[in-house]
Amino acid sequence: MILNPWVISMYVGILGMALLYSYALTISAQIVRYWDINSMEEGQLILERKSYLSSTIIQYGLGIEIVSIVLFYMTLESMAEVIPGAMCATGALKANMYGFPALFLKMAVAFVCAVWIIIHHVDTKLEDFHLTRFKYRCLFVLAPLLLCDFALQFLYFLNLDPNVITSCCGVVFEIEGEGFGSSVASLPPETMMLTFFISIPILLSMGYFLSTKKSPIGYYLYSLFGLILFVISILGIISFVAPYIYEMPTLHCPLNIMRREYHYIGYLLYAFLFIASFFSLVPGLSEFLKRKGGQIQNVVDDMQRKSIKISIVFWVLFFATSLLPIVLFEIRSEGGNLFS
Amino acid sequence: MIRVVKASKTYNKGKPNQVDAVNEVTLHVARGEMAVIHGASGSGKTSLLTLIGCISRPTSGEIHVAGKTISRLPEKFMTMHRREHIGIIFQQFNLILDLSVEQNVGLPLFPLNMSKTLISERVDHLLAKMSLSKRRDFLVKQLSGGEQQRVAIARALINNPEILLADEPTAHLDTALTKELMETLAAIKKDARTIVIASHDPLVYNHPFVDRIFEMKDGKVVEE
Ligand SMILES: Nc1ncnc2c1ncn2[C@@H]1O[C@H](COP(=O)(O)OP(=O)(O)O)[C@@H](O)[C@H]1O
Ligand SMILES: [Mg+2]
Repeated sequence: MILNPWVISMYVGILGMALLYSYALTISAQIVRYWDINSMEEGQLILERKSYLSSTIIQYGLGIEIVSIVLFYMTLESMAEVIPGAMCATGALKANMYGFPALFLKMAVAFVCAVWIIIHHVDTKLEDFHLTRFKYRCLFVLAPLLLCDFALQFLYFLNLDPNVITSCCGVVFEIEGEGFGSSVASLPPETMMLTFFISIPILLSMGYFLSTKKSPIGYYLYSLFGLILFVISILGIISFVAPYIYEMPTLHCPLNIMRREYHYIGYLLYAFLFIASFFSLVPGLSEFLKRKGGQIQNVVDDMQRKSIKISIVFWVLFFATSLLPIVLFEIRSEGGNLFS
Repeated sequence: MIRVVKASKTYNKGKPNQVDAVNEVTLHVARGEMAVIHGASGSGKTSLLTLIGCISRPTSGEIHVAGKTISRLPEKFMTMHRREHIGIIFQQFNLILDLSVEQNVGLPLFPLNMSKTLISERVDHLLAKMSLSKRRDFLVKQLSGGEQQRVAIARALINNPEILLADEPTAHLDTALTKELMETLAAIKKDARTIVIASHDPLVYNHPFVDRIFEMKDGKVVEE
């Protein structure tokens, strides 16, 4: 076990989230059980007030859960100095078997939290509480995921051993190596670049189409494409964006790009990517919510248009930021090819 | 404009101190009418006004105000509806004594993200209408009862409401001021605003501009 201020605050954070979430679940249980929209009794009124307060708190709690990925990364960086052989966050993750699963699960949980926040947002705009019960039910679905997330992080930090030598990111993302990192790193960069940059016109034309025309299937496709693009983007970062940032064809680490040496460009990239993906989810998800009837239709139409606009802005920002190191390299090397 | 259908408000339901403050009340007030709810103290006038004014929710029944059914609305939307359509003059004025007249009158507009100049323009306009322009920067506690009453009216009108509710507005006024108040309300009525006054003051319910009188007794409207 390793203890430093980062790790301790990580423990405290997990504990705090767990407490908050237990509170959320007790309220949820009451609401799922006793909620009766047709009742005008005092009990229902109290429940509505409780729901109003607690869902606001839960919303921020889940928001923090999303942002805590950054904290997790910073903690990893702080550990990299302590764990022999680690040198960077990737190495720290590799120090035991829980590291990478914890990170991946955290990303998946972040998306589920985002989905909940969107549902909640729609619900607050409805005058008939149409989604209230549904959104509290969803909290129960989220509970096991969050529990696994807390558990994995706990296990990861608990099992860190300063005496075990780990490998650094150079090995994890080695082209001839084994494992997920290496297989992504050995994807042909040219193909990846093509896929990556061909997505822009596809996305823009989808967005343009949906801004002129309402199409339920279009909204679903847009969100689906957003998810696919998220995966392509992560692969793209590993495959060629990171090497261009390092100006080294063999360095593929997707985490070191957040370091100061690289002007924190990684933070910018991931922030744009996450925000863009988040807003890409909205059109499809709200289309799904529409099927629940009530007044949702009117509220959601406006949201869909807005979120498509916002997501396109952030996708363009993300692509521009990914393009930047490539352009800079081309200028400096007068048109050289990094990968040949 | 206001339609109440079999609305009830029960306090402390199911407990020994249960009170049926409003009991299956049905009433209707059309746009531009002035109505008076008349009844003894404790007959449920204030409770009924809070139901119409989107301040509390009925225990049963339906209430439609300014084009919306408010009896089952979440509190947040009730507040929004109130801000948009309803002005209320409370029995105790509910003014903030240590703020100036201008601040008191402009207060309801602060949550609406309105520009300072726009708020100030509206306040000026209303203060002139209520003959309070010279008192603009006075603290409310420095004003006489009649002046405080007019500040309360100005504040109730600041959001340009279609409906004005007043709870015992003459309780603290002498005869002359009561007559003055009724003239003011009559002038407001001429702007096609709907007015509902709870009062047991003959000077109020006998006023020629009153279109309807609802007689309340033990939570019920017994006579129109
Ligand atoms: N918040 C409250 N809790 C419990 N009882 C109340 C409440 N408000 C009013 N009441 C009771 O309801 C009845 C009607 O009160 P109210 O509406 O104030 O009548 P009025 O305005 O005609 O004097 C009274 O018996 C009063 O005691
Ligand atoms: Mg009263």
